Amino acid sequence: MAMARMFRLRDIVFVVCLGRMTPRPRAGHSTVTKGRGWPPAWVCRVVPSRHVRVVDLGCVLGPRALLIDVAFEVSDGPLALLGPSGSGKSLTLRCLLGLAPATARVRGELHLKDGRQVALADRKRLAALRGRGLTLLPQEAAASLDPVRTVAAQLRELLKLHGDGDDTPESLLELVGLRGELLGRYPHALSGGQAQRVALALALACRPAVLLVDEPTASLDTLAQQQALTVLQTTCAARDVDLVFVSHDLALAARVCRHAVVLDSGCVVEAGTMAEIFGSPVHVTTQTLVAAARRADELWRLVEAPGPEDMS
Amino acid sequence: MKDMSDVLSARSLGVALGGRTVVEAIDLELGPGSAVAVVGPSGAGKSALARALVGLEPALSGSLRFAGVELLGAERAAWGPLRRAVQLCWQDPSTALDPNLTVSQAIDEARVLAGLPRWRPDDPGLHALLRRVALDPSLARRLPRSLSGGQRQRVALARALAGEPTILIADEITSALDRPAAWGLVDLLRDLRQGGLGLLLITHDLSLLSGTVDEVIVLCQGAVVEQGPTAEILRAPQHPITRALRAAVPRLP
Repeated sequence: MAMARMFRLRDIVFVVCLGRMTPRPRAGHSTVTKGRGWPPAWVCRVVPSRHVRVVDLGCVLGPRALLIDVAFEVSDGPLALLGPSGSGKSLTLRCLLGLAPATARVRGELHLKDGRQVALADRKRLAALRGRGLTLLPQEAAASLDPVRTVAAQLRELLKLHGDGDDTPESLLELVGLRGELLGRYPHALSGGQAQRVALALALACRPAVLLVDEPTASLDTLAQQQALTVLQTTCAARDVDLVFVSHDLALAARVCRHAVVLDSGCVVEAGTMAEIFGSPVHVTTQTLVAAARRADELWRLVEAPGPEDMS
Repeated sequence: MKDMSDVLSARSLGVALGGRTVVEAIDLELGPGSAVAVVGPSGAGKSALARALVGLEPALSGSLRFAGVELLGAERAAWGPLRRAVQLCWQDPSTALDPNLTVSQAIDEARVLAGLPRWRPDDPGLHALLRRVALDPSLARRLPRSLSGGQRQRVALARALAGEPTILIADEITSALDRPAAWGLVDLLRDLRQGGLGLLLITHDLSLLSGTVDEVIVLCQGAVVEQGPTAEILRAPQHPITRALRAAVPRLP
């Protein structure tokens, strides 16, 4: 009850602020196309944040604008951040973690579920959020593990720093579907798929509110890929973690996410549900990605068409 | 009678690494214009097989013939024709290229090694080759670090083709690329094959096979678990590994 009243009070504060906070036109940003106009800037400004939301993220390095007005919201299931190589996907994650290049100027805001708002230029506060607030599952899982310490030691360290007492190294490994005997192993003795799951266990040890996943399966073979995705999905659902899934592979993202944002050259060029993205891609970048994802599918249909009874 | 020149044929070929058998009893025949795929999960021995076929993995059993000449147990000089005619294109584009050589220098080096006339950065032959792999000739003077992953992989492919091979072994050349770039490369391989190049495609992604290769060999932990025409393997996979690989190709909603 008290919570509800607080929210209403906050709404009033927001509406009062509306006049001041409506977006003002900025030089040089007028040509940015946001597909389907989503989310309209005023929505980000007025509605109190019940979801994790990134507002007007910009990143400038020297003379170059690397990210321009990137905005998205993680609501109603995992969000996919899509785009070709070099479109700014990984940089977006680094900005959210406060790990953008030291010389880069970052602006924009991060709104958390609990109502906190953090300026993305404030690296100290972002650093404080790392772990419990946001956690990254990096691209090269094997390379992200400490090579000279056992799995158990690495898990224990994170549990001590960020854990909430309920988790043990054993329970975390069980959660990601690994046997307890891996606890004594060093990273070099893990397969690529195992290393990926250990990295996920490490990320979950922090009890994050938001898990940022950067191309989690790029270095795995297709079998390990499938297992890793399933584990990622089930554990994030079990722990109520908001998932931001960065990928260039639409077919993979479609398995995990319901909504997607497409980036190209540092701008959001399209956003919508996965069905919308696949059904009627508007921007040429999205169309290329969709066409590439569809090709694998078409070949399957071609192969399977003559003998539907073979489907197993 | 089939022309045996430029045909690479392996009979119950085995590869051992550090005393451990990593590939056993593989049968494979590859000539100009034919295309075979080797598929399997990580650790199946696919890359070890690729290296063995070009003589980079010395411990072998069985038989490996090129143009009718037995190579196993033969002297180093006997490998010469195979080394010139069969080129291997490596998996990881970021490590396959010498970071200190420009695109044109890397390709020129391959020309020298193959005993072919050298190419300067503005040579029309070089530009034609770069265009063939869908690269802009203006990239000829660039260093690998200033190229994207897809461009690097194309340079690595151009380097493999610069020696004018009759057979190309492509070891997971699409796995480090994003999807559109991967399909671009697969289309290129199909074109090259139409042009008479023999192709051994090594991959774990079954979606690339149909329309690209005629025959598929499925490896699992070094053993051949299934081998046959592409359409047959894809339509009715018999072995659980093949089924799992097929099921692992992401489907669209």
